[in-house]
Amino acid sequence: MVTDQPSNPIGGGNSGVSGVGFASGRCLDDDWFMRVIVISLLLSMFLPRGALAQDAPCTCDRDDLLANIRSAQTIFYGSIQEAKMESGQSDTIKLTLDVRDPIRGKESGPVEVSTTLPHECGVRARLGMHSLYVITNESEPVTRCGGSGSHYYQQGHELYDLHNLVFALITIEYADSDPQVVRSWLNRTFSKNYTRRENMESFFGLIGELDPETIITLTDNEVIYRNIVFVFTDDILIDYFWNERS
Amino acid sequence: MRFLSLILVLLASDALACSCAGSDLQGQYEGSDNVFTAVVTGARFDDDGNIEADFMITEVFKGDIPFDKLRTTRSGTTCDTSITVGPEYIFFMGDEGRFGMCSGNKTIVPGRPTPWLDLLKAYKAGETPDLSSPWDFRHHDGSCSLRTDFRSTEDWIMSHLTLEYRYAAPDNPVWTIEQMNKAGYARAVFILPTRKEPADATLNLKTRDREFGATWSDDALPGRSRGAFQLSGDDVRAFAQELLHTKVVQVAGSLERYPSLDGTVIRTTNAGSAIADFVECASQ
Repeated sequence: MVTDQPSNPIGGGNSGVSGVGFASGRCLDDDWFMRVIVISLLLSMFLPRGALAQDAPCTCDRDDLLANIRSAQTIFYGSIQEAKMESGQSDTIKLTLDVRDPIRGKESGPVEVSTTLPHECGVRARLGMHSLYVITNESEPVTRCGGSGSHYYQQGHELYDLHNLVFALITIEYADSDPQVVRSWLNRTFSKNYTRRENMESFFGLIGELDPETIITLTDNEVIYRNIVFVFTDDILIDYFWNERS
Repeated sequence: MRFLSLILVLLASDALACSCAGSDLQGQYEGSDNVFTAVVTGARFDDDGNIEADFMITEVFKGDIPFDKLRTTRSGTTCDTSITVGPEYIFFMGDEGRFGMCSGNKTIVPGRPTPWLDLLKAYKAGETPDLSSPWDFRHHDGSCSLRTDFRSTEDWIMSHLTLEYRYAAPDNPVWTIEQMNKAGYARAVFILPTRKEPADATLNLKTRDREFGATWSDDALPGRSRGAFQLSGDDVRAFAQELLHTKVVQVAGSLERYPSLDGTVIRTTNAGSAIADFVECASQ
């Protein structure tokens, strides 16, 4: 996995600040228009500024990463409240984390973990930044290759499907116990009437890999995971609901 | 519905875009009391939600660094920022030690080029008379390019001047405009952050002995929302030849969106061998 940006010199900006471009003076059809809006809003919610530009390259094995997640004792989505390079260990950073969405194990913060530097596959120690934390052994640093960190969507990236990793884990953990948490993430991640089924395939695939014991039912118009039913018409997500009968 | 949607998009845009005045290294250096490199060794939120960071200086280029903590002030605007512990940065600071999104600080990523740091070191050592932007020469997939950045004060995105010459068809064509993938294709593009100049706008690039008229092109960057003033064909090679013995390129033109570009100078002081390398490549 190589996270370097393309090196094309023409038009290759390096501002590290994301902006939302908007074409003016063109006649836009409503569908195209709404897609721009949905993508813009999603980007504004989930992309920290400059995140892509500053993440150092890191080579990870996808199978090892998912295996580590399956065996982890503690998994949560949280934010960094304090970060400090450990004295005498300039390559290790101690993080104090606030738990926002517990997924497995630890229910609330603060949690203390250590990580390596970003160019050594450590989690980016940016104050206030929300990321996934996967703790297999409390004495070991958390790393991006262990599943921790922010997994951004990068077109053409071989591990691009991991940008839905947090949501997949949330879905697995809360599908039965707290649908409201899943609904909240669903609303932020996939938009009814605009999300194509092909854009959700990697999400369903990821759930299948992380929860291999549960069968995901695929039909022409529906995808059913546990009691969540995703309904498609013409391969567009038009609804999702909790099937009370199951 | 469309009007409501437009408002939503504008709100989303505003949430992302902090408007900072663009600056090159020379401008950053001149506008800062303190310029130094340091590793950020720790950071925390205070009770007001501001960030306080510890740092370890690695090299000083300007100033006495009269502060022992770096601080942000939470303004509630889109210019609020954070800081990452671990990396080394180039800091451009006032004497208060405060920083924000518009401070222009740069992360130094191990293994990646550090043109600004290289130039600061060369300037400190007296190896260059100014901090004008460096020029970068590259070969890639059947073409070579020469690029330098410059400041347009009307926008926070750095603009750049890039000369490109294609001496062989690429193994993997990337341009949707077929002509750009053909051997012999040459262009010089003076790229601006947006497409807001009218179609008949022109920009003159004056070298020591000649003046080149670049014409506006909306599709110089297919698929991107940026436009460019463009030279093409033999003008590109002639322009590159001129750069060999020109110290200052004078930019002239009446632009609606970027009036400050009229009178901008682009210096070749820190080109090193890049211009000669490009001229040699373009002679193939």
